[in-house]
Amino acid sequence: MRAALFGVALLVCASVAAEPGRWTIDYASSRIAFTAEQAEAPFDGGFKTFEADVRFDPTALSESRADVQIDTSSVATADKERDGILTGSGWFESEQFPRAHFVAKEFAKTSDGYEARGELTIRSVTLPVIFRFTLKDAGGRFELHGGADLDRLAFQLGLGDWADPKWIGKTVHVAVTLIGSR
Amino acid sequence: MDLKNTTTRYGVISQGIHWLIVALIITQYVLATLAHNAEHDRATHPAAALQQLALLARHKSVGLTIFALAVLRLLWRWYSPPPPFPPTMPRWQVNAARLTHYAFYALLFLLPISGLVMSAASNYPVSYFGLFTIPNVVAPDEALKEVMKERHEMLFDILVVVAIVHVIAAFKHHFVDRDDVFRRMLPWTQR
Repeated sequence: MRAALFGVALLVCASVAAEPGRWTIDYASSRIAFTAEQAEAPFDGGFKTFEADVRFDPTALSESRADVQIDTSSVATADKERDGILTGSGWFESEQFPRAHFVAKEFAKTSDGYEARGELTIRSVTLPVIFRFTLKDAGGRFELHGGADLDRLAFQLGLGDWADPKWIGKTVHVAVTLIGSR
Repeated sequence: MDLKNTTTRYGVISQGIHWLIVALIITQYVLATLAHNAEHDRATHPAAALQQLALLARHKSVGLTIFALAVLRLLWRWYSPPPPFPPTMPRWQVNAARLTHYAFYALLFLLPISGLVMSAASNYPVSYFGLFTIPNVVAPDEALKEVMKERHEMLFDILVVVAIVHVIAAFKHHFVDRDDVFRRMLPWTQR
């Protein structure tokens, strides 16, 4: 009985010890980018400011966590007019909804990488999102590349006059590059 | 009527492209004006921004069409030279006519190119009527976009001036000189 309790205590300790540490993100080389469609042609953009609290370890998937906050007013598409529309009424409405938020606590191995099953909040809408990614580990320096396809209408981005998917595509592809170390 | 130009008349191809370009340039002016008006309405009517986007998308597709037609017309001109000017025309008028025609070709190339560069500079890749996409020809650059916008509008003003000279000259040939120069570009007149 004592031995068994000791064993359980050891296991608990081991699992606590195995909780992955927070990555130190190299923001200068990390990107949250997207490709959307407008007037039947794709264009790209990104978010300049975000904060990623990533505690991911491929050897400790069940303890891995990710929490990413994106500053919606930092949206940048190389055109001031479009950026102004995106942060304004009917889109991100950054004054009212300054941040988008992604939280993932479930991670799984896939055939070619990993997936994070989490929840993404944009404006006041929270929806489940599966974020698929690959990980390269070069001596403790991680390079994560991943993406997800989002339905902008489901997140209430561009409703009303902007809703027509012919002129503004329904699907937005988000591509994330995170460079970090532990 | 001949497909090719003859020594006295423009053929079907040259006439067709000529009048098609005329119609498309008028279309371009209408689309650009409507888009410009939509831009002004944006503050009061949110739908105007989407209208502006759609109008400009069509403006760009029509512009690419004009560019392609100008290339075709130039190639056809080389393959099938236009009828010569009447021998009665004074030298300065022949030179003025040539200058006007070359100016038209230059404008029909430069207008779409400046528009395309403007689009690329503001990171708006251009779709041709939703059929295919022209990737950005230059990297996004807001200053370059402003310069190209100015040039695009200036080139259009020049086009209007050249077109007025062209039309006045055509009418002068028809009503004053009473020669064939205007009529040989008209599809419904036989000589």
